[in-house]
Amino acid sequence: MDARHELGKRGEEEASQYLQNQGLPIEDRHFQTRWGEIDLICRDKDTWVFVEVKTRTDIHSPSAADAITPSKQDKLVRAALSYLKKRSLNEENVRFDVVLIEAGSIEWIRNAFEPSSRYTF
Amino acid sequence: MIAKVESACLVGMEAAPVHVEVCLAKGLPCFSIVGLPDAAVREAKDRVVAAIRNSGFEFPTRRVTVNLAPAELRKEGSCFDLAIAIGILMASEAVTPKRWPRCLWVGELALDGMLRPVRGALPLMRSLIRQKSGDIAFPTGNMAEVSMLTGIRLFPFLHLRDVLHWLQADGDPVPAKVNSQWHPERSTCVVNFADIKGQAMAKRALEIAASGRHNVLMVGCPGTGKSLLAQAFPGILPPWELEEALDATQAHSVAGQLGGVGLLPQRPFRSPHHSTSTAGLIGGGDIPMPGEISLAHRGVLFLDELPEFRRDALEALRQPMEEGQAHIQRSRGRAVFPADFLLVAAMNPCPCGLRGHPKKECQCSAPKIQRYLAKISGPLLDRIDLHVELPVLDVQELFAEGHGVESSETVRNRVDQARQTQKKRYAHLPGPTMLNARLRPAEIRRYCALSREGQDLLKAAVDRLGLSARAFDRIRKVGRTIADLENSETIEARHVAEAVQYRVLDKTSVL
Repeated sequence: MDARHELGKRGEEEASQYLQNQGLPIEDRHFQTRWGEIDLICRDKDTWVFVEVKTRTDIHSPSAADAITPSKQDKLVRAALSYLKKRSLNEENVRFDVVLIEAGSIEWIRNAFEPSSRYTF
Repeated sequence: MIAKVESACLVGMEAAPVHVEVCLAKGLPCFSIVGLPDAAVREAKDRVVAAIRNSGFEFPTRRVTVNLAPAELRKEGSCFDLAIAIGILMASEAVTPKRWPRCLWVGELALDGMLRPVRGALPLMRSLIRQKSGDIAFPTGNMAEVSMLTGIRLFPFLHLRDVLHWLQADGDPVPAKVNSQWHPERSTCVVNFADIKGQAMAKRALEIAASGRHNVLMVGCPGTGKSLLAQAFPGILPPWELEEALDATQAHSVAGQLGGVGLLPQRPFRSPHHSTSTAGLIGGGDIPMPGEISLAHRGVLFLDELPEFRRDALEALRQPMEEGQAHIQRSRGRAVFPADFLLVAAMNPCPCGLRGHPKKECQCSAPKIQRYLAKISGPLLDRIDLHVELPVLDVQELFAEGHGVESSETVRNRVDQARQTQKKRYAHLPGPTMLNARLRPAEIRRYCALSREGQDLLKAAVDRLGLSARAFDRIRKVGRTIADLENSETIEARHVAEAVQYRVLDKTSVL
């Protein structure tokens, strides 16, 4: 459990470094809500980006795409809305990205999923 | 920012304008389409996203709302893809058009951005011409069927990228050239009248049917040549004209049966099997679609073994035969399809087919015959102008070498000439070319005046045979055609006599 936790933390470090190098300033990390945690929150010009980081060391673990199930997506969206409310942000552009870290290579998927239409501000 | 794009869809056979509005807003990324879209329209989301990305543009990560107005019109089909894609690109300012032509945008998008042809392009554009719409941008795949149209500027495109380049280019838009070259195919008729032995009366009946566009029923024992004559019938019909081709192709276009061919090259000849359902024959289905009678519009509908058809299918023919249109009403909507067809029907005199045979014995019991013949109701029979019996050929006729038997070409020339006479006579009447079979009561009174002897003869016939008022009208129309074939201005007694002959079935000789 600890080892996995460690792995995850290392992955998030790498991801946040990577995104900063790409020109996306980091606003927040490990934002905790009752629906779970958002790994990274950053800004891409005028868009708020909520990033989920997935780290894998061996290929036998489930792939990141499988790990972000619809219910997980649901939780991320609710957590994001909670963050926006907390910061009193209305009418903002919002995006959900995923960063996959696998044995040294980093893959950044922009706009990885769309929330279903029942969410509004 | 809101973008507005004009599109249109087909409701029945008429074009309904659809205004596509695209609104991009801040918020959670989401793409929704509203305006009572059906499944195909809702799936446009995935097609549009892929097409935009594969055309070298980015799909905006915003809250995208597409509204298809008017909101209460059910939107069906995939023809709005193009308008939606353009609306999204304009709203996200990925494309800033140098000029915005007053244009309707119609087309389905493939995932790679190619434009796919839509169903019903021909009737849609003809309807838009009537509504004086202006310009239309559509897939190149539909060009074949609409290239003849005047009164509308056509802009065909192959790929979404081409559309966007066109919008951002300088100068005035140049429409596609109207294709004025259209030649009908010579009717490829396998059977010639000269190949059919005997049956002079049936051939005469078909000649009259072709000249005035009258419906005809052939009754005879098996093997007397009914199906053969029906197959030879297209060979004596007059040449296929552009107006008729445009009308007939419309129904095929709506049914999605054109396959990119363009206008129909010859008169349609439909011969559905007698197991066809009512919806297949008249039209219908969950979404109103044209049936066999509409696919035979301006052409021939051949129903072989008439009593074998389902009773409700036959009864449903009555109204289209009177009106020349099929009214389809479903919970999903209603449509009116054109159904001006020439009916050629064939039947046996009884279930075993041998009643009235000179040499063989009929095996059917009386109630069996009754039941068989009752399938053809009186009202249906009333609407068929010509009834003719085909006798069994005797040995002499069977072995005759065929001297002096007329070929289809000879008959067709007479038919053509009779059609010209009708064209001249009815030239001043509005609407499509009037033919004798379509005359309405006021016109019958005016154009089908009988000579004195003719009137007396007809009075006697109506009295003796107990003919209905409808039969009375039809005899006069047939008489008009017979007189036209002889180039006679007035309808003489001999013309009436011949016309009456073709109503013998009204007075149950066979029926």
